[in-house]
Amino acid sequence: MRRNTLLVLLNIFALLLQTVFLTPPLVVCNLTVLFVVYLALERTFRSGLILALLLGYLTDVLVGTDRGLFMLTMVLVFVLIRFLIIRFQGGKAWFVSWISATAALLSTALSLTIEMAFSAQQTAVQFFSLTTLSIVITGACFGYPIYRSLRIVDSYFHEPEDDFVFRG
Amino acid sequence: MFRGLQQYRAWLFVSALLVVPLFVYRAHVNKNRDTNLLDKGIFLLTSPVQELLTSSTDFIARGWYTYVDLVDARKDIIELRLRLGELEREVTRIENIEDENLRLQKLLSLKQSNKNVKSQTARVISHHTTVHSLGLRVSRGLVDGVVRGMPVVDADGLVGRIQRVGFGSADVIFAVDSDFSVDGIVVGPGVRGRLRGDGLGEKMSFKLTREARADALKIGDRIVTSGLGGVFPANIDLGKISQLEIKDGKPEKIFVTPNVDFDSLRTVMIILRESHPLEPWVTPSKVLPETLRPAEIPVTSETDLFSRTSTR
Repeated sequence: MRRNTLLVLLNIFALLLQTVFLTPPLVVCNLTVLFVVYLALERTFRSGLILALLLGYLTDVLVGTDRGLFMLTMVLVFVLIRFLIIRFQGGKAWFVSWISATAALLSTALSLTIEMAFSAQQTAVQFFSLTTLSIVITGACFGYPIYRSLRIVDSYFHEPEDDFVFRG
Repeated sequence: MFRGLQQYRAWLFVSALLVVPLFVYRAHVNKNRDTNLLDKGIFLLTSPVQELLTSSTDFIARGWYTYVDLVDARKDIIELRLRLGELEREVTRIENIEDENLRLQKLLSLKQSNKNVKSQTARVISHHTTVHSLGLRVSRGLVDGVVRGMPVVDADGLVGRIQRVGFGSADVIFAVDSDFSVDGIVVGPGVRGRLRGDGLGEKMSFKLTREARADALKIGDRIVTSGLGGVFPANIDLGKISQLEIKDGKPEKIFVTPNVDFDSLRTVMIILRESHPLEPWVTPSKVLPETLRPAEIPVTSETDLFSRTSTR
């Protein structure tokens, strides 16, 4: 519980940093995705999914416009990354960076798709744009540092977690 | 039934967590709904941190930009100083050109006013002021028709005469040299005398040909060449009386300060011997220094520059 609380607080801090420092036109990024990548890599499915939803909600509140968009996106990203890493395993820098960039790209694509599907307004961001490129690059750059930082924070707490058993 | 649900609870959980945000999004999208109580709570908690971050960033940014500005200001100062130096040099160059232009205009005016007097304009090559002689070298010589003894004038008056002649250059002895003398006449009283340089380059002594009364002369009287002797044309400005010593009611020592500034000569005019003493020298009033301009002859306009106005 304590480590989850800390992770949420860290995510809030990261989002605040994002709103202050990593702002357009300098750079566009989504740091919550990188937290979700960490959750997908290191946490159990149940707690990771709940936290992804919570982080998505915080992102909606702090940097989003329509409530629910990032919640849905983060849950989807978590599930997809989780299934993706069943085939690929590892915690090396290149792997985490690659998976972070993929998650960043995925989150952009998913949020735009959801927006196009449900919103009457035209989507604000085109998929093939410098913004998307910036999100992917910052995902690749910040992915591993955030992963390592959260691993260090997590290593202070050894809390056992229950998880689901998926049955088909 | 519940056991069956329990078997698929993981899938149900995932589905629920996907459906809930989807409903939330559907409920909010396109409706511009206001923030709820929970949102407001999060804003309340996070806004001070955000404000702190923003203000600290602003503080650091201000410090950084102040430093950058100072560095830029120093660079700008160095560049501006260099530019100032360049501009000062340019101003000096333009002032020299203007000065030269004015001199040439005056000489041209002088030449126009003395159409019947043949003359050559010469550029000053060098000044050779020594203890033995005061003079300069000009860019005209034998090939230009210059011979020894020819008068050399400037817009301000008599400069001197040709002393030595080369093929393409000639040496001029100044009127203030001790080896130089010329017959002069005081404009107004008509008193005649002999002017001789004092050798120091500042003034000439004026020795009267015959005795004159003390009240006949006064300081500031203008002296011109008399034309006697056949060397210098009449009416060339020599200078004005600057010092007058009277003894027993008669002028004992008279000193004349020349009009010409010998140090700043750049271009002079050589009067060719064949032309004089037929015509007296004419100095246009515009060319004359203001103190020497006759009051009764007003300067009308720029076009009047070439009018013949004898100062005699």
